Amino acid sequence: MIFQSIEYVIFLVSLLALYFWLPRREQNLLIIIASYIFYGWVHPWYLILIGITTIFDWGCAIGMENSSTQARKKAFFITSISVNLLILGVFKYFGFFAENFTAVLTSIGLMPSPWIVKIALPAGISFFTFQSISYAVDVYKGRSRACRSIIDYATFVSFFPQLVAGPIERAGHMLPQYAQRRGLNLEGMRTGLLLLLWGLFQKVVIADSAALIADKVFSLGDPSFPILWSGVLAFGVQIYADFSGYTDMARGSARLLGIELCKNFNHPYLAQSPGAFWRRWHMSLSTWFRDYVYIPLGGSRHGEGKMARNLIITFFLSGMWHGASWNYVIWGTYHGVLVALWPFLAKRVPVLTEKTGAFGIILRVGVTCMLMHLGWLMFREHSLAMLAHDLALNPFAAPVSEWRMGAALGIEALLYGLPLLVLLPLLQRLGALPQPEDPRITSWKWTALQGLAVAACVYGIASMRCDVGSDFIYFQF
Amino acid sequence: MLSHLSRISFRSLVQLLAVAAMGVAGPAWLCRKLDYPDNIVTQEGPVGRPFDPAAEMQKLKKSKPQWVLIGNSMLNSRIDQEELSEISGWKARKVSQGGTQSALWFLFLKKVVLESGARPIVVSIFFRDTDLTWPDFRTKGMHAELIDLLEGTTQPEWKTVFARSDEARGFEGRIEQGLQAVFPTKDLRPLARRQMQERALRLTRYGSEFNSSGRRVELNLRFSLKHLRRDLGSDFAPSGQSADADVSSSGAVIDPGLYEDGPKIFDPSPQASFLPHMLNLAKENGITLHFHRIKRRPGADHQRPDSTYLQAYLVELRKWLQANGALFSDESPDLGIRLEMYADGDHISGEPAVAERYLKGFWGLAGPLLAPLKPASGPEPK
Repeated sequence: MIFQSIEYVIFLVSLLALYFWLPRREQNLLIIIASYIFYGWVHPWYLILIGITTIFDWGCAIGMENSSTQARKKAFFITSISVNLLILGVFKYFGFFAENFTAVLTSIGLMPSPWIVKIALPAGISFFTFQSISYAVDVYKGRSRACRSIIDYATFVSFFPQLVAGPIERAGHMLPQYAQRRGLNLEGMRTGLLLLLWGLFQKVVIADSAALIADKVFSLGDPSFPILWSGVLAFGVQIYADFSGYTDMARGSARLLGIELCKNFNHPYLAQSPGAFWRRWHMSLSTWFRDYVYIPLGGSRHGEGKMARNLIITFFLSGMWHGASWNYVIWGTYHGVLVALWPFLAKRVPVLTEKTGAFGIILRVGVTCMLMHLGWLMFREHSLAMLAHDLALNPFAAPVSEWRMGAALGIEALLYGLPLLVLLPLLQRLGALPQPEDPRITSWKWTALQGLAVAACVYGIASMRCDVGSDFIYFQF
Repeated sequence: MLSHLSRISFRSLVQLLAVAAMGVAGPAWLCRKLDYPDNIVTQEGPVGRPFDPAAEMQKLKKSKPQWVLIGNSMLNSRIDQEELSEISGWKARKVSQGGTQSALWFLFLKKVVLESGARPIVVSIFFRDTDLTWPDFRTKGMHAELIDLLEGTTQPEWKTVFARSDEARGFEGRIEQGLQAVFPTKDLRPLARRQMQERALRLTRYGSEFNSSGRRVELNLRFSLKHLRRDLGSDFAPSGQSADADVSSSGAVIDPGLYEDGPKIFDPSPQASFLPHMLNLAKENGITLHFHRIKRRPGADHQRPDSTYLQAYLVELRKWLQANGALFSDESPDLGIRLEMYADGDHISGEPAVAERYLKGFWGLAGPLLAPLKPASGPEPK
């Protein structure tokens, strides 16, 4: 089931109608049932995977906590991690490795004809397995207590708003919420509704409209430099609005149910360095890699050289997480190199440090944005041959008409992106977006402003939504 | 539960209801308040040639063709009307638009060919596999704009065909209808999109003489078929795969994703498709309909075997068309239409030798079917 469908509205309204009548345990049970319906709506067999992950990790965590010896504890830990990695490996990476392995054998004549086994990739597999891995690690390290209730734990793994595309939550944040009964909070419902509609606006108006431009450009066999980069710009708008829209719809849906999910984005295109970008983009994944890969590798503890190595490895793995394809590997490694090199560059080019004035800020934001969009080109372009072709394009070879066309396409994408790229940061800067716990929320002035915001979102969705819809990009991960 | 409800403050409840009311009433009012210009021309087909019904009718009226060919880019990439006229001795004219499907072909027949006053003897419709009984295929987005332009949704036949699909959508369909009643934005959406594009075009007008529609045509041509990647299905091999991806290594054809959602069983009822309505229109106007199935991209062995369900479907389709006085031809078994003759997806390449070979093959199939209908006087075939 997808958020931007009437089925989802019916599903959510029906769920809410039941939910607040129930005691705590039954509320969680209802969430599990609803989540399984949501996830298994098209492919019920996906539920087997999520069921296996849930039971194994729940059991292993209790086993870890009850273990009398370290070796026994470790055995449970390894079992839990192995099951998760095995599921991820088989369903996400087997095809990729098999394809490359057979290609190598075929190229040296050891295999007469290539054989390829295609395994369907269950939506959101990378998200729920990473969430489960973090739980196992946290219990093993003693940072979290093992959850004794299978119902609470299954709720944690399967909670439908964040099941398919995150945010990747931590047990320490979610399990205490599931341990309490959620009462009807009308203020929370108001902000939840607004978040849901704002997320929907980002998806069906901004992302889908920008996608029309990006898809058009990336279907060209002979793009010129300006047209290609207008497509990359459109893709930059698309992927941000798509993923941020999904996250806001997830957070809004969860808030309606009285559950608070973590933020995943903080105006990433205003970042002043590649490192800062990753502290603002897909924050739940960035912090996951920081806590469970980068720091265990040694982080910044053993000198600059080791830090650079750890960064590159971490981002390489982050690229692999995004997809079993060489372009994601290149994209991840590129970001690793950027983040690792930036401090060295900043030492030599003072304007790259964060201590200069307005000009410096604009310059750094501009440079970071350009570097990120170069990354988006690698992300979007699945064909390595086309990527090489794109990177070799000469801007001076394009005629004026191509520049004019490219500019028009780029401007159109930016016009669609304005509410997300300019209006939202401005409103937040002005303090015009209070959270549900903010005492101002109960005032009539804020009620009126919220009403206007809801009306603007509804009008935008009704009058400007793109008829050619598309799936959320991050569903494939 | 009651004690729980009693904790909800009256103020919070009123505030929530106020926000919800503003969210519904404001947009509903705005949607009605805005005036829509009645001259929105937003149609542009994937091949970049804007479809102008009035101009098409004018051309038909003027040229009075004996043979009209309706279709999409399958037709456009295969047939040159002048060459066809020359080789066949029939005065042929195309009414086509890239990307269109059966709903628009019906409208081309009714609202363009018949309303033009031209009375062709034969109308040929070029289709792929199950196109003819898949009425809702490609009726959204830019196709919806063209459908609106041809007043498609107000046609009684349209209502007959789509009444069933609305019914089939049940509760969900009724909700959508309800939403459209509250927020009547169907006409506004193409305009809003067009205005956005217009702004972008105007912002880049400097240094050139600005002509809005000229710039649009220029853009469309830049994204026309000849500029698309060969590995992308422009009308369409499955996207993200190579043009040959719909052919397995063994040479057997896998049903491409494009047609997976189409009908699997041939249903000739008037509620199922526009096909019987096209035949009725043709009968009423003394026109013979000819349905020509094109050969989809073959494998390396130049064959394009049909799946079992498609074989059964085509047998039924042929039988039904012939029983209802229509003509039917199928170029799929023609091994002379070879893989190398294809450009991208199911399109035939524009190379002169290929075009000539194709045209001869097509006339070889259509000629004997059309021969009994040929009027005594007229140009002799070449």
